[in-house]
Amino acid sequence: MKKIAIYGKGGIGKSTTTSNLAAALADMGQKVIQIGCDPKADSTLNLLQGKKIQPVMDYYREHDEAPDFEHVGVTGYGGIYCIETGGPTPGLGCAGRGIIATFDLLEELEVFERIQPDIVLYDVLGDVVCGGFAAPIREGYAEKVLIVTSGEKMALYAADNINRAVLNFADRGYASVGGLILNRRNVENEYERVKAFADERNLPVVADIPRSGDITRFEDQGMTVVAGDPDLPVSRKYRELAEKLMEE
Amino acid sequence: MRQAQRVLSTYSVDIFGICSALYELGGLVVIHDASGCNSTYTTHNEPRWYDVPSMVYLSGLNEVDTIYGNDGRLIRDIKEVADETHPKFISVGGSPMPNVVGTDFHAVARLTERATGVPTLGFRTDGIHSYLQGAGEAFLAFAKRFMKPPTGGNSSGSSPLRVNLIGATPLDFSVTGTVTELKRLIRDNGMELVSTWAMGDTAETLASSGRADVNVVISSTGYPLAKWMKETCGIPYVTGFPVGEKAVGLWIRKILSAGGRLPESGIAEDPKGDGAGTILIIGEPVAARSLGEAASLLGKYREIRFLCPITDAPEELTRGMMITDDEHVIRDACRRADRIIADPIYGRLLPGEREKFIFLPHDAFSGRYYRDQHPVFAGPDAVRNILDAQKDLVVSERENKIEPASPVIFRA
Repeated sequence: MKKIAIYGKGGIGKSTTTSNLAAALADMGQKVIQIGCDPKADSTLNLLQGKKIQPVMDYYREHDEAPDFEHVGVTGYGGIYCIETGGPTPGLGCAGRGIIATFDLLEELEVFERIQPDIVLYDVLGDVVCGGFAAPIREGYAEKVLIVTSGEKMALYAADNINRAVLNFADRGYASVGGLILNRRNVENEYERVKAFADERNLPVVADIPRSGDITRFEDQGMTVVAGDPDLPVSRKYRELAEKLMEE
Repeated sequence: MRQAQRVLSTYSVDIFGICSALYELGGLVVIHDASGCNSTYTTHNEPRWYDVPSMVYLSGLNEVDTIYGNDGRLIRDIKEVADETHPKFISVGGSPMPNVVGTDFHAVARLTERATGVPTLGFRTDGIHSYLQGAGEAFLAFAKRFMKPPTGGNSSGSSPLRVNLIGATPLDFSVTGTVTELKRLIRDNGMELVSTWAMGDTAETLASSGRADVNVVISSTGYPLAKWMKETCGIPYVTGFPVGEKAVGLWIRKILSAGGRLPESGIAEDPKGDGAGTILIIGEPVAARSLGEAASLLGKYREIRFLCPITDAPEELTRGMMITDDEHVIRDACRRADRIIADPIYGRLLPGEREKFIFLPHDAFSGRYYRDQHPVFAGPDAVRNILDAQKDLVVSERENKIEPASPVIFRA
């Protein structure tokens, strides 16, 4: 079972990237679990025809008890099992703790053992603000981190912070950074900027996703571009990334 | 208010289970918490504290280190102590506060081991789960790290059957002679006692327990290790201990059968008597079933019921038991039974019906309160010992009784 965590600056397209990657993997016949680790709980929207699922933390709040296996997630596009950790309203409570509590529950319910996925994708909130947001890269969770970035200065700044944080955790036996996913914003010399950044840190650029109106068009219909039109150039890029990850 | 505990106590927690399981093994056992936890453990849950030296430390977690997730200070402090005390191993786990901020004890253990060069076990604890999980994980982690692989296969029919007793901590057996009695029974019946996890044996002895032919699980804390040793070394296990003369013979027979020295004994899993009344046994599942067998052998009861108030006890051991820690539900179950075997604190649920209760103190529940009246509750004299202790226990319970105005304890 492969386990990959996707990190990156807020709004950079982590959920879009993760969902398209999940859809491409599912189209290849892989059994996929996608876990959104963000209080906004919108990671899996486009795998579920735009419908929001009840996040694990919301279930706890509403029912005063943990969800059972039947209520922990929902099966979406291509059999992808979608889970959202959810979390408190911004400014209240402790969102990181929500991620940890959800992971504990997934373990207790033996979700991975029961679903037997080929790959688990963790879509994590951009800013690693506390221990909870590093939980997806702890020993036993993701082995590899992919950082989504554009060529914009702030996106690269965030990518650098994430890379440093992961390097700091190396002694703890946590995941390592497997590379950068360039999600283009059409900045001047974008590939070169990102490539230079990656080279300085000895990281590969594992995918170069073009900016495409098709992504937005299909997201408006509640689906990924990979599901909407698998033959579009942008969909092919996601499929290439999926193939690359499964080959490794 | 259904979850409010008005009368009952709570069971000892996971981190104390770890401390208790590893207490005698020469390790540095660290509780990561602000001051306070150590005193609860040593005062109520650790009767060996004043007699048997051990290295149980509290980290003294403070507010700033909590905010910063500053594991560095914890690791530096452990190193400082380890450099002075030269422990055989280090164990680190915590209480609710480090759990809330997501302290990764496996990572802390890895960093500590690197800093000290001493093998380190990290435990994911929250101070909310029960001692059964903590002690169970501690035994298992210790075995995975230190147990030597078994060599030489099973003992032959002419040599004594080699046995491990697994699941001995004062939390379940106190220190009043019950574990000693179980050891005596093994030896006096021609078997070789390889190790007892973990009272009275060194870390080195436990490390050699892979050469046993049979494991005897004497409390739920021993179950994860016995299961693992069956999977990895093929060592069969039996559960339970004998309470009363007739039970001793059956117990020995069960162990010999598991070791291939006798044909299967065919003991019923859920014993029933042919008497008239009903008896309810409340407590840790392995002890409860052992007491149930004793009740069955007495033949006085039509029905023997079990209630496990430790809700995270291993599922395989609680089949057919009522599992609840809800005070109202437990009180109702007590009302419906003619006799009840339970820790004396449960007697407070039905103050007008104390005569229904046969008190058997459980350190993991009532701590030190009844330790002086704790009978030896295994072996041929166990039934008489338990009954003989009742008079003193009733007096002691009256003296220790907390009046209804006591503070309400809320469960987490």
